[in-house]
Amino acid sequence: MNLLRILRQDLGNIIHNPSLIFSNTILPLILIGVMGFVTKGGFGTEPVSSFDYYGVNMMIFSVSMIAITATNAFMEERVKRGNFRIAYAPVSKQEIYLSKILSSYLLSAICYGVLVPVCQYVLRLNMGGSNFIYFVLLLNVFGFCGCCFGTMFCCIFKNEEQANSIMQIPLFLSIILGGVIFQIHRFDSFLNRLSWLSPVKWAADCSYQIIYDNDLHLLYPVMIGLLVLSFFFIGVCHILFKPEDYI
Amino acid sequence: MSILLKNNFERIKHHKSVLFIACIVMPVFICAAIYISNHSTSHEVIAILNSDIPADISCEQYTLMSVEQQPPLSAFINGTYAAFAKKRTDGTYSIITLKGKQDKEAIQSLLTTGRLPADYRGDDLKRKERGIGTNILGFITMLVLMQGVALTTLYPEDRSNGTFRRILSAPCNENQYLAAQFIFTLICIYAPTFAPIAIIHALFGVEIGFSIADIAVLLLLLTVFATAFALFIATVFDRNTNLIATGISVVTCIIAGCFIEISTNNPVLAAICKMIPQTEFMELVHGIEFGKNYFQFRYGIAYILLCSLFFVAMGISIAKRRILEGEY
Repeated sequence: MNLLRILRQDLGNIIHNPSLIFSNTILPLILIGVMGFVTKGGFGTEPVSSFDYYGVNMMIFSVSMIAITATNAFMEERVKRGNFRIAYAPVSKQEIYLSKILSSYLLSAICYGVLVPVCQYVLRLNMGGSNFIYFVLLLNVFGFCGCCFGTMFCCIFKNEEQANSIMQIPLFLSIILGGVIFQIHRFDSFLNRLSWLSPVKWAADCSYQIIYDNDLHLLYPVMIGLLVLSFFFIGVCHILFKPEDYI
Repeated sequence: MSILLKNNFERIKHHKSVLFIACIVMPVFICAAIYISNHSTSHEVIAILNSDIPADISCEQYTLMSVEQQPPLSAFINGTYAAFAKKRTDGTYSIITLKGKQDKEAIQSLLTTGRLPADYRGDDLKRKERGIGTNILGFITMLVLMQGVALTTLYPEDRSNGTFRRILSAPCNENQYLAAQFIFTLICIYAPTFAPIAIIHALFGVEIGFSIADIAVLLLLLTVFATAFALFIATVFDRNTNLIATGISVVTCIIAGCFIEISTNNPVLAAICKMIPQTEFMELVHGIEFGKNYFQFRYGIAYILLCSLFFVAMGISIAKRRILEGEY
Protein backbone atom coordinates (compact mmCIF):
# COMPACT_ATOMS: atom_id res chain seq x y z
CA MET A 1 0.00 0.00 0.00
CA ASN A 2 2.79 2.37 0.93
CA LEU A 3 4.61 1.34 -2.21
CA LEU A 4 1.68 2.48 -4.35
CA ARG A 5 1.56 5.83 -2.61
CA ILE A 6 5.30 6.47 -3.05
CA LEU A 7 5.04 5.24 -6.61
CA ARG A 8 2.36 7.81 -7.38
CA GLN A 9 4.51 10.54 -5.90
CA ASP A 10 7.54 9.46 -7.94
CA LEU A 11 5.58 9.27 -11.15
CA GLY A 12 4.34 12.79 -10.47
CA ASN A 13 7.92 13.95 -10.04
CA ILE A 14 8.95 12.44 -13.35
CA ILE A 15 6.00 13.87 -15.21
CA HIS A 16 6.79 17.33 -13.90
CA ASN A 17 10.26 17.15 -15.41
CA PRO A 18 9.79 18.16 -19.05
CA SER A 19 13.21 17.10 -20.28
CA LEU A 20 12.74 13.54 -19.06
CA ILE A 21 9.40 13.30 -20.81
CA PHE A 22 10.85 14.90 -23.93
CA SER A 23 13.78 12.51 -24.10
CA ASN A 24 11.48 9.51 -23.90
CA THR A 25 8.86 10.63 -26.41
CA ILE A 26 9.93 13.12 -29.05
CA LEU A 27 13.68 12.55 -29.00
CA PRO A 28 13.53 8.94 -30.30
CA LEU A 29 11.38 10.14 -33.20
CA ILE A 30 13.77 12.99 -33.99
CA LEU A 31 16.72 10.59 -33.87
CA ILE A 32 15.00 8.13 -36.20
CA GLY A 33 14.19 10.95 -38.61
CA VAL A 34 17.65 12.45 -38.55
CA MET A 35 19.60 9.20 -38.79
CA GLY A 36 17.26 7.84 -41.42
CA PHE A 37 17.57 11.00 -43.48
CA VAL A 38 21.33 11.18 -43.19
CA THR A 39 21.96 7.59 -44.22
CA LYS A 40 19.26 7.47 -46.86
CA GLY A 41 21.82 7.25 -49.69
CA GLY A 42 23.43 4.14 -48.26
CA PHE A 43 20.22 2.16 -48.24
CA GLY A 44 17.78 0.97 -50.87
CA THR A 45 14.05 1.09 -50.32
CA GLU A 46 13.63 -2.69 -50.35
CA PRO A 47 13.71 -4.81 -48.22
CA VAL A 48 14.79 -2.43 -45.45
CA SER A 49 14.97 1.35 -45.79
CA SER A 50 17.23 3.54 -43.72
CA PHE A 51 14.23 4.67 -41.65
CA ASP A 52 13.29 1.05 -40.87
CA TYR A 53 16.84 0.28 -39.90
CA TYR A 54 17.31 3.25 -37.63
CA GLY A 55 13.75 2.95 -36.34
CA VAL A 56 14.63 -0.28 -34.60
CA ASN A 57 18.15 0.75 -33.62
CA MET A 58 17.25 4.15 -32.20
CA MET A 59 14.38 2.58 -30.27
CA ILE A 60 16.81 0.22 -28.57
CA PHE A 61 19.24 3.10 -28.08
CA SER A 62 16.67 5.31 -26.36
CA VAL A 63 15.46 2.48 -24.16
CA SER A 64 19.02 1.90 -22.97
CA MET A 65 19.19 5.57 -22.04
CA ILE A 66 16.28 5.05 -19.61
CA ALA A 67 18.95 4.41 -16.96
CA ILE A 68 19.57 8.18 -16.98
CA THR A 69 15.88 8.80 -16.32
CA ALA A 70 16.09 6.43 -13.37
CA THR A 71 19.02 8.25 -11.79
CA ASN A 72 17.25 11.56 -12.33
CA ALA A 73 14.03 10.29 -10.78
CA PHE A 74 15.91 9.06 -7.75
CA MET A 75 18.41 11.72 -6.89
CA GLU A 76 18.11 14.86 -8.95
CA GLU A 77 18.89 17.82 -6.70
CA ARG A 78 15.34 19.10 -6.67
CA VAL A 79 13.62 15.85 -5.83
CA LYS A 80 16.28 14.32 -3.64
CA ARG A 81 15.36 16.03 -0.36
CA GLY A 82 11.72 15.22 -0.79
CA ASN A 83 12.51 11.66 -1.71
CA PHE A 84 14.48 11.12 1.43
CA ARG A 85 12.02 12.63 3.83
CA ILE A 86 10.18 9.38 3.31
CA ALA A 87 13.02 7.72 5.16
CA TYR A 88 11.58 9.12 8.40
CA ALA A 89 8.22 7.51 7.75
CA PRO A 90 7.58 3.90 8.72
CA VAL A 91 8.32 2.42 5.32
CA SER A 92 10.85 -0.26 4.59
CA LYS A 93 13.87 0.57 2.51
CA GLN A 94 12.82 -1.82 -0.27
CA GLU A 95 9.76 0.31 -0.84
CA ILE A 96 11.88 3.39 -1.39
CA TYR A 97 14.19 2.05 -4.06
CA LEU A 98 11.63 -0.27 -5.65
CA SER A 99 9.27 2.63 -6.20
CA LYS A 100 12.01 4.54 -8.04
CA ILE A 101 12.72 1.54 -10.26
CA LEU A 102 9.04 0.94 -10.89
CA SER A 103 8.19 4.57 -11.61
CA SER A 104 10.88 4.94 -14.28
CA TYR A 105 10.01 1.50 -15.62
CA LEU A 106 6.35 2.52 -15.90
CA LEU A 107 7.36 5.65 -17.78
CA SER A 108 9.36 3.59 -20.29
CA ALA A 109 6.60 1.00 -20.59
CA ILE A 110 4.01 3.65 -21.38
CA CYS A 111 6.19 5.75 -23.70
CA TYR A 112 7.56 2.89 -25.76
CA GLY A 113 4.30 0.97 -25.59
CA VAL A 114 2.82 3.92 -27.47
CA LEU A 115 5.82 4.81 -29.65
CA VAL A 116 6.31 1.38 -31.24
CA PRO A 117 2.73 1.02 -32.53
CA VAL A 118 2.84 4.65 -33.67
CA CYS A 119 5.98 3.92 -35.69
CA GLN A 120 4.49 0.74 -37.05
CA TYR A 121 1.06 1.96 -38.03
CA VAL A 122 1.23 5.74 -38.34
CA LEU A 123 4.77 6.24 -39.65
CA ARG A 124 4.73 2.90 -41.50
CA LEU A 125 8.12 1.76 -40.26
CA ASN A 126 8.80 -1.93 -40.01
CA MET A 127 8.58 -2.77 -36.32
CA GLY A 128 7.71 -6.38 -36.91
CA GLY A 129 4.18 -6.01 -38.28
CA SER A 130 1.87 -8.10 -36.15
CA ASN A 131 4.91 -9.26 -34.19
CA PHE A 132 5.46 -5.77 -32.80
CA ILE A 133 3.91 -6.88 -29.53
CA TYR A 134 6.92 -9.14 -28.90
CA PHE A 135 9.24 -6.27 -29.67
CA VAL A 136 7.38 -4.13 -27.12
CA LEU A 137 7.63 -6.97 -24.61
CA LEU A 138 11.37 -7.21 -25.15
CA LEU A 139 11.78 -3.43 -24.80
CA ASN A 140 9.81 -3.57 -21.56
CA VAL A 141 12.11 -6.13 -20.01
CA PHE A 142 15.14 -4.30 -21.37
CA GLY A 143 13.88 -0.99 -19.97
CA PHE A 144 13.30 -2.61 -16.57
CA CYS A 145 16.87 -3.85 -16.59
CA GLY A 146 18.06 -0.33 -17.47
CA CYS A 147 16.09 1.19 -14.57
CA CYS A 148 17.60 -1.30 -12.13
CA PHE A 149 21.03 -0.45 -13.52
CA GLY A 150 20.52 3.30 -13.05
CA THR A 151 19.14 2.88 -9.54
CA MET A 152 22.04 0.65 -8.60
CA PHE A 153 24.47 3.41 -9.58
CA CYS A 154 22.52 5.85 -7.43
CA CYS A 155 22.82 3.49 -4.48
CA ILE A 156 26.54 3.13 -5.04
CA PHE A 157 27.41 6.82 -5.44
CA LYS A 158 24.62 8.43 -3.41
CA ASN A 159 24.55 11.43 -5.73
CA GLU A 160 22.92 11.96 -9.10
CA GLU A 161 25.73 13.87 -10.73
CA GLN A 162 28.37 11.33 -9.81
CA ALA A 163 26.18 8.35 -10.56
CA ASN A 164 25.32 9.70 -13.99
CA SER A 165 28.84 10.58 -14.96
CA ILE A 166 30.31 7.25 -13.96
CA MET A 167 27.39 5.31 -15.36
CA GLN A 168 28.02 6.86 -18.77
CA ILE A 169 31.09 4.70 -19.33
CA PRO A 170 29.52 1.23 -19.04
CA LEU A 171 26.37 2.58 -20.66
CA PHE A 172 28.07 3.97 -23.76
CA LEU A 173 30.43 1.03 -24.00
CA SER A 174 27.58 -1.43 -24.08
CA ILE A 175 25.65 0.74 -26.54
CA ILE A 176 28.62 0.91 -28.89
CA LEU A 177 29.35 -2.80 -28.48
CA GLY A 178 25.66 -3.45 -29.07
CA GLY A 179 26.17 -2.12 -32.57
CA VAL A 180 23.06 0.06 -32.60
CA ILE A 181 24.92 3.22 -33.63
CA PHE A 182 27.22 1.69 -36.20
CA GLN A 183 27.79 -1.92 -37.11
CA ILE A 184 30.76 -3.36 -35.31
CA HIS A 185 30.53 -6.80 -36.86
CA ARG A 186 33.42 -6.21 -39.22
CA PHE A 187 35.91 -5.03 -36.62
CA ASP A 188 38.35 -7.60 -35.36
CA SER A 189 37.15 -10.76 -33.69
CA PHE A 190 38.22 -9.64 -30.22
CA LEU A 191 35.78 -6.73 -30.29
CA ASN A 192 33.20 -9.13 -31.61
CA ARG A 193 33.56 -11.58 -28.77
CA LEU A 194 33.58 -8.72 -26.29
CA SER A 195 30.28 -7.50 -27.68
CA TRP A 196 28.51 -10.59 -26.37
CA LEU A 197 28.95 -9.18 -22.87
CA SER A 198 26.74 -6.24 -23.73
CA PRO A 199 23.03 -6.57 -22.88
CA VAL A 200 22.33 -4.03 -25.63
CA LYS A 201 23.74 -6.56 -28.09
CA TRP A 202 21.39 -9.26 -26.75
CA ALA A 203 18.40 -7.00 -27.12
CA ALA A 204 19.45 -5.84 -30.57
CA ASP A 205 20.06 -9.32 -31.96
CA CYS A 206 16.84 -10.59 -30.48
CA SER A 207 14.82 -7.74 -31.96
CA TYR A 208 16.39 -8.18 -35.40
CA GLN A 209 15.27 -11.81 -35.29
CA ILE A 210 11.77 -10.94 -34.18
CA ILE A 211 11.30 -8.16 -36.69
CA TYR A 212 13.13 -9.38 -39.76
CA ASP A 213 13.10 -13.17 -39.49
CA ASN A 214 9.79 -13.67 -37.76
CA ASP A 215 11.69 -15.86 -35.37
CA LEU A 216 11.01 -15.89 -31.63
CA HIS A 217 13.78 -18.30 -30.65
CA LEU A 218 15.94 -15.79 -28.87
CA LEU A 219 13.10 -13.99 -27.10
CA TYR A 220 12.82 -16.13 -23.97
CA PRO A 221 16.53 -16.70 -23.36
CA VAL A 222 17.22 -12.98 -23.75
CA MET A 223 14.31 -12.00 -21.52
CA ILE A 224 15.44 -14.43 -18.85
CA GLY A 225 19.00 -13.17 -19.15
CA LEU A 226 17.88 -9.57 -18.74
CA LEU A 227 15.68 -10.44 -15.76
CA VAL A 228 18.51 -12.30 -14.03
CA LEU A 229 20.69 -9.25 -14.57
CA SER A 230 17.95 -7.00 -13.16
CA PHE A 231 17.64 -9.11 -10.04
CA PHE A 232 21.36 -8.93 -9.60
CA PHE A 233 21.18 -5.10 -9.79
CA ILE A 234 18.29 -5.04 -7.34
CA GLY A 235 20.30 -7.27 -5.03
CA VAL A 236 23.17 -4.77 -5.09
CA CYS A 237 20.68 -1.95 -4.38
CA HIS A 238 19.35 -3.87 -1.41
CA ILE A 239 22.77 -4.40 0.07
CA LEU A 240 24.11 -0.89 -0.52
CA PHE A 241 21.06 1.28 -0.01
CA LYS A 242 20.92 2.73 3.50
CA PRO A 243 18.32 5.47 3.94
CA GLU A 244 20.14 6.76 7.01
CA ASP A 245 23.05 7.85 4.79
CA TYR A 246 20.90 10.54 3.22
CA ILE A 247 19.42 12.16 6.25
CA MET B 1 37.82 38.69 -12.48
CA SER B 2 41.04 36.84 -11.83
CA ILE B 3 39.79 36.09 -8.33
CA LEU B 4 36.60 34.64 -9.78
CA LEU B 5 38.64 32.56 -12.15
CA LYS B 6 40.81 31.29 -9.35
CA ASN B 7 37.77 30.48 -7.28
CA ASN B 8 36.29 28.48 -10.14
CA PHE B 9 39.39 26.35 -10.35
CA GLU B 10 39.34 25.85 -6.60
CA ARG B 11 35.70 24.84 -6.64
CA ILE B 12 35.84 22.48 -9.57
CA LYS B 13 38.20 20.32 -7.52
CA HIS B 14 35.26 19.34 -5.39
CA HIS B 15 33.16 18.30 -8.34
CA LYS B 16 34.87 14.97 -8.60
CA SER B 17 32.48 13.62 -11.20
CA VAL B 18 32.99 16.53 -13.59
CA LEU B 19 36.72 16.25 -13.21
CA PHE B 20 36.52 12.51 -13.68
CA ILE B 21 34.70 12.90 -16.98
CA ALA B 22 36.94 15.69 -18.21
CA CYS B 23 40.24 14.09 -17.32
CA ILE B 24 39.56 10.38 -17.73
CA VAL B 25 36.46 9.68 -19.78
CA MET B 26 37.15 12.26 -22.51
CA PRO B 27 40.69 11.04 -23.21
CA VAL B 28 39.41 7.45 -23.23
CA PHE B 29 36.72 8.32 -25.77
CA ILE B 30 39.19 10.28 -27.88
CA CYS B 31 41.60 7.35 -27.88
CA ALA B 32 38.71 5.06 -28.86
CA ALA B 33 37.80 7.40 -31.72
CA ILE B 34 41.38 7.44 -32.98
CA TYR B 35 41.65 3.67 -32.61
CA ILE B 36 38.45 3.03 -34.54
CA SER B 37 39.31 5.54 -37.26
CA ASN B 38 42.73 4.02 -37.76
CA HIS B 39 41.53 0.46 -37.61
CA SER B 40 40.61 -1.07 -40.89
CA THR B 41 37.60 -3.32 -40.92
CA SER B 42 37.39 -6.57 -42.80
CA HIS B 43 35.78 -6.29 -46.22
CA GLU B 44 32.06 -6.46 -46.69
CA VAL B 45 30.90 -9.90 -47.66
CA ILE B 46 28.78 -10.86 -50.63
CA ALA B 47 27.18 -14.27 -50.21
CA ILE B 48 26.58 -16.29 -53.36
CA LEU B 49 24.22 -19.23 -53.37
CA ASN B 50 25.73 -22.65 -54.01
CA SER B 51 28.02 -21.65 -56.77
CA ASP B 52 31.70 -21.69 -57.19
CA ILE B 53 32.98 -18.19 -57.09
CA PRO B 54 34.15 -17.10 -60.52
CA ALA B 55 37.93 -17.21 -60.34
CA ASP B 56 38.58 -14.15 -62.44
CA ILE B 57 36.81 -11.74 -60.13
CA SER B 58 39.21 -9.23 -58.67
CA CYS B 59 37.81 -6.84 -56.15
CA GLU B 60 39.38 -4.72 -53.46
CA GLN B 61 36.17 -3.70 -51.77
CA TYR B 62 34.21 -6.90 -51.28
CA THR B 63 34.90 -10.48 -50.26
CA LEU B 64 32.92 -13.19 -51.97
CA MET B 65 31.72 -16.24 -50.13
CA SER B 66 29.65 -19.22 -51.11
CA VAL B 67 26.66 -20.16 -48.92
CA GLU B 68 24.31 -23.13 -48.78
CA GLN B 69 21.10 -21.25 -48.37
CA GLN B 70 19.78 -17.72 -48.31
CA PRO B 71 20.88 -16.02 -45.07
CA PRO B 72 18.11 -14.57 -42.87
CA LEU B 73 17.38 -10.87 -43.22
CA SER B 74 18.80 -10.19 -39.76
CA ALA B 75 22.24 -11.26 -41.02
CA PHE B 76 22.16 -8.27 -43.36
CA ILE B 77 21.03 -5.97 -40.59
CA ASN B 78 23.85 -6.84 -38.21
CA GLY B 79 26.41 -6.58 -40.99
CA THR B 80 27.39 -10.23 -41.48
CA TYR B 81 26.60 -10.01 -45.17
CA ALA B 82 26.40 -6.96 -47.38
CA ALA B 83 24.52 -8.71 -50.15
CA PHE B 84 23.17 -12.06 -51.26
CA ALA B 85 23.30 -13.11 -54.90
CA LYS B 86 21.61 -15.98 -56.68
CA LYS B 87 22.43 -16.93 -60.24
CA ARG B 88 19.53 -16.85 -62.64
CA THR B 89 19.35 -19.20 -65.60
CA ASP B 90 20.29 -16.45 -68.02
CA GLY B 91 23.59 -15.83 -66.26
CA THR B 92 22.64 -12.62 -64.45
CA TYR B 93 22.20 -12.50 -60.71
CA SER B 94 19.26 -11.63 -58.53
CA ILE B 95 20.62 -9.59 -55.66
CA ILE B 96 19.26 -8.89 -52.22
CA THR B 97 20.95 -6.09 -50.33
CA LEU B 98 20.13 -3.26 -47.95
CA LYS B 99 22.30 -0.97 -50.00
CA GLY B 100 21.10 1.56 -52.54
CA LYS B 101 20.51 1.15 -56.23
CA GLN B 102 23.98 2.24 -57.26
CA ASP B 103 25.67 -0.34 -55.05
CA LYS B 104 23.30 -3.01 -56.30
CA GLU B 105 24.21 -2.30 -59.91
CA ALA B 106 27.89 -2.28 -59.03
CA ILE B 107 27.62 -5.70 -57.40
CA GLN B 108 25.72 -7.01 -60.39
CA SER B 109 28.48 -5.88 -62.72
CA LEU B 110 31.13 -7.26 -60.38
CA LEU B 111 29.56 -10.70 -60.58
CA THR B 112 28.85 -10.71 -64.30
CA THR B 113 31.86 -8.87 -65.70
CA GLY B 114 34.36 -9.60 -62.97
CA ARG B 115 35.08 -6.06 -61.90
CA LEU B 116 33.40 -3.11 -60.28
CA PRO B 117 32.58 -0.01 -62.34
CA ALA B 118 35.63 2.23 -62.47
CA ASP B 119 34.08 5.16 -60.63
CA TYR B 120 32.33 3.07 -57.97
CA ARG B 121 33.13 3.81 -54.35
CA GLY B 122 31.66 1.60 -51.63
CA ASP B 123 30.84 2.84 -48.12
CA ASP B 124 34.19 1.81 -46.69
CA LEU B 125 36.15 3.51 -49.42
CA LYS B 126 34.09 6.67 -49.09
CA ARG B 127 34.84 6.75 -45.40
CA LYS B 128 38.53 6.24 -46.03
CA GLU B 129 38.62 8.97 -48.65
CA ARG B 130 37.06 11.35 -46.22
CA GLY B 131 40.27 11.31 -44.24
CA ILE B 132 41.23 9.91 -40.87
CA GLY B 133 41.60 13.34 -39.33
CA THR B 134 38.16 14.45 -40.46
CA ASN B 135 36.58 11.32 -39.00
CA ILE B 136 38.36 11.80 -35.69
CA LEU B 137 37.60 15.51 -35.39
CA GLY B 138 33.97 14.92 -36.35
CA PHE B 139 33.53 12.68 -33.36
CA ILE B 140 35.49 15.02 -31.11
CA THR B 141 33.25 17.92 -32.17
CA MET B 142 30.28 16.19 -30.61
CA LEU B 143 32.17 15.26 -27.46
CA VAL B 144 33.44 18.81 -26.99
CA LEU B 145 29.99 20.35 -27.42
CA MET B 146 28.58 18.00 -24.78
CA GLN B 147 31.53 18.48 -22.50
CA GLY B 148 31.28 22.28 -22.62
CA VAL B 149 27.90 22.31 -20.94
CA ALA B 150 29.00 19.77 -18.35
CA LEU B 151 31.92 22.00 -17.41
CA THR B 152 29.81 25.12 -17.07
CA THR B 153 28.12 23.44 -14.12
CA LEU B 154 29.31 26.10 -11.66
CA TYR B 155 27.18 28.80 -13.25
CA PRO B 156 23.76 27.11 -12.82
CA GLU B 157 24.91 26.03 -9.38
CA ASP B 158 25.73 29.62 -8.42
CA ARG B 159 22.27 30.71 -9.46
CA SER B 160 20.40 27.96 -7.65
CA ASN B 161 22.17 28.40 -4.32
CA GLY B 162 22.24 32.19 -4.35
CA THR B 163 25.99 32.66 -4.79
CA PHE B 164 25.33 34.50 -8.02
CA ARG B 165 23.39 37.24 -6.25
CA ARG B 166 26.05 37.59 -3.62
CA ILE B 167 28.79 37.82 -6.25
CA LEU B 168 26.89 40.53 -8.08
CA SER B 169 26.47 42.59 -4.92
CA ALA B 170 30.25 42.59 -4.61
CA PRO B 171 32.14 45.06 -6.83
CA CYS B 172 31.80 42.82 -9.86
CA ASN B 173 29.32 42.93 -12.68
CA GLU B 174 27.75 40.19 -14.72
CA ASN B 175 30.09 40.79 -17.67
CA GLN B 176 33.09 40.06 -15.54
CA TYR B 177 31.42 37.03 -14.00
CA LEU B 178 30.49 35.56 -17.37
CA ALA B 179 33.91 36.35 -18.81
CA ALA B 180 35.48 34.41 -15.95
CA GLN B 181 33.15 31.50 -16.66
CA PHE B 182 34.02 31.70 -20.34
CA ILE B 183 37.77 31.54 -19.78
CA PHE B 184 37.37 28.81 -17.21
CA THR B 185 35.30 26.56 -19.49
CA LEU B 186 37.59 27.26 -22.43
CA ILE B 187 40.65 26.09 -20.55
CA CYS B 188 38.89 23.10 -19.07
CA ILE B 189 37.73 21.84 -22.45
CA TYR B 190 40.87 22.63 -24.36
CA ALA B 191 43.48 21.07 -22.12
CA PRO B 192 42.01 17.57 -21.71
CA THR B 193 41.07 17.37 -25.39
CA PHE B 194 44.33 18.57 -26.83
CA ALA B 195 46.60 16.68 -24.43
CA PRO B 196 45.60 13.10 -25.33
CA ILE B 197 45.72 13.82 -29.07
CA ALA B 198 49.13 15.41 -28.78
CA ILE B 199 50.44 12.58 -26.60
CA ILE B 200 49.15 9.85 -28.87
CA HIS B 201 50.54 11.59 -31.92
CA ALA B 202 53.88 12.63 -30.50
CA LEU B 203 54.74 9.65 -28.31
CA PHE B 204 53.20 6.75 -30.15
CA GLY B 205 53.37 8.19 -33.63
CA VAL B 206 49.75 7.33 -34.40
CA GLU B 207 48.46 8.89 -37.61
CA ILE B 208 45.88 11.61 -36.95
CA GLY B 209 45.85 13.28 -40.32
CA PHE B 210 47.07 16.69 -39.16
CA SER B 211 50.17 18.30 -37.85
CA ILE B 212 50.12 19.23 -34.16
CA ALA B 213 49.94 22.93 -34.99
CA ASP B 214 46.86 22.42 -37.17
CA ILE B 215 45.17 20.39 -34.47
CA ALA B 216 45.92 23.12 -31.94
CA VAL B 217 44.35 25.83 -34.12
CA LEU B 218 41.32 23.78 -35.14
CA LEU B 219 40.62 22.69 -31.59
CA LEU B 220 40.89 26.27 -30.38
CA LEU B 221 38.25 27.37 -32.86
CA LEU B 222 36.04 24.47 -31.84
CA THR B 223 36.43 25.12 -28.13
CA VAL B 224 35.58 28.80 -28.50
CA PHE B 225 32.36 27.84 -30.23
CA ALA B 226 31.57 25.09 -27.73
CA THR B 227 32.14 27.43 -24.80
CA ALA B 228 29.87 30.09 -26.26
CA PHE B 229 27.20 27.48 -26.89
CA ALA B 230 27.56 26.16 -23.35
CA LEU B 231 27.20 29.63 -21.80
CA PHE B 232 24.10 30.25 -23.85
CA ILE B 233 22.47 26.92 -22.89
CA ALA B 234 23.40 27.32 -19.24
CA THR B 235 21.81 30.79 -19.19
CA VAL B 236 18.60 29.90 -20.97
CA PHE B 237 17.75 26.63 -19.24
CA ASP B 238 17.53 26.18 -15.53
CA ARG B 239 17.60 22.46 -15.00
CA ASN B 240 18.73 19.34 -16.84
CA THR B 241 21.08 21.45 -18.94
CA ASN B 242 23.23 18.40 -19.59
CA LEU B 243 20.42 16.36 -21.01
CA ILE B 244 19.23 19.20 -23.27
CA ALA B 245 22.72 20.00 -24.52
CA THR B 246 23.42 16.35 -25.26
CA GLY B 247 20.26 16.11 -27.33
CA ILE B 248 20.95 19.30 -29.28
CA SER B 249 24.58 18.53 -29.96
CA VAL B 250 23.99 14.95 -31.06
CA VAL B 251 21.26 15.93 -33.50
CA THR B 252 23.04 18.98 -34.94
CA CYS B 253 26.32 17.09 -35.26
CA ILE B 254 24.66 14.31 -37.19
CA ILE B 255 23.04 16.65 -39.69
CA ALA B 256 26.18 18.74 -39.92
CA GLY B 257 27.94 15.67 -41.27
CA CYS B 258 30.33 15.10 -38.41
CA PHE B 259 30.07 11.33 -38.84
CA ILE B 260 29.02 10.67 -42.39
CA GLU B 261 29.08 12.99 -45.33
CA ILE B 262 25.67 14.32 -46.12
CA SER B 263 24.50 15.04 -49.60
CA THR B 264 20.95 16.09 -50.22
CA ASN B 265 19.06 17.38 -53.20
CA ASN B 266 16.41 19.05 -51.14
CA PRO B 267 17.25 22.80 -51.09
CA VAL B 268 15.45 23.48 -47.80
CA LEU B 269 17.28 20.73 -45.97
CA ALA B 270 20.56 21.75 -47.57
CA ALA B 271 20.02 25.31 -46.33
CA ILE B 272 19.30 24.05 -42.82
CA CYS B 273 22.45 21.92 -42.84
CA LYS B 274 24.44 24.88 -44.10
CA MET B 275 23.20 27.07 -41.25
CA ILE B 276 24.67 24.83 -38.56
CA PRO B 277 28.16 26.10 -37.68
CA GLN B 278 29.52 22.57 -37.36
CA THR B 279 29.04 22.12 -41.11
CA GLU B 280 31.45 24.96 -41.78
CA PHE B 281 33.81 23.50 -39.25
CA MET B 282 33.78 20.08 -40.91
CA GLU B 283 34.45 21.65 -44.30
CA LEU B 284 37.36 23.55 -42.82
CA VAL B 285 38.75 20.41 -41.20
CA HIS B 286 38.41 18.39 -44.38
CA GLY B 287 40.07 21.15 -46.41
CA ILE B 288 42.99 21.52 -44.02
CA GLU B 289 43.56 17.78 -43.92
CA PHE B 290 43.91 17.77 -47.70
CA GLY B 291 46.37 20.59 -47.80
CA LYS B 292 44.34 23.73 -48.35
CA ASN B 293 45.16 26.80 -46.29
CA TYR B 294 43.10 28.66 -43.74
CA PHE B 295 42.67 31.70 -45.94
CA GLN B 296 40.47 29.77 -48.36
CA PHE B 297 38.05 29.15 -45.51
CA ARG B 298 37.97 32.70 -44.14
CA TYR B 299 34.20 33.01 -44.50
CA GLY B 300 33.61 29.70 -42.75
CA ILE B 301 35.87 30.68 -39.89
CA ALA B 302 34.24 34.10 -39.68
CA TYR B 303 30.82 32.46 -39.57
CA ILE B 304 31.79 30.16 -36.71
CA LEU B 305 33.24 33.08 -34.74
CA LEU B 306 30.19 35.19 -35.47
CA CYS B 307 27.91 32.42 -34.18
CA SER B 308 30.02 32.17 -31.03
CA LEU B 309 29.77 35.91 -30.56
CA PHE B 310 26.02 35.72 -31.04
CA PHE B 311 25.66 33.00 -28.40
CA VAL B 312 27.75 34.95 -25.91
CA ALA B 313 25.85 38.17 -26.57
CA MET B 314 22.52 36.40 -26.19
CA GLY B 315 23.70 34.76 -22.99
CA ILE B 316 24.81 38.07 -21.49
CA SER B 317 21.67 39.96 -22.50
CA ILE B 318 19.37 37.25 -21.16
CA ALA B 319 21.31 37.12 -17.90
CA LYS B 320 21.13 40.93 -17.64
CA ARG B 321 17.41 41.01 -18.25
CA ARG B 322 16.77 38.36 -15.64
CA ILE B 323 18.93 40.19 -13.13
CA LEU B 324 16.94 43.38 -13.74
CA GLU B 325 13.72 41.46 -13.29
CA GLY B 326 15.14 40.24 -10.00
CA GLU B 327 14.90 36.58 -10.82
CA TYR B 328 18.05 35.63 -8.98
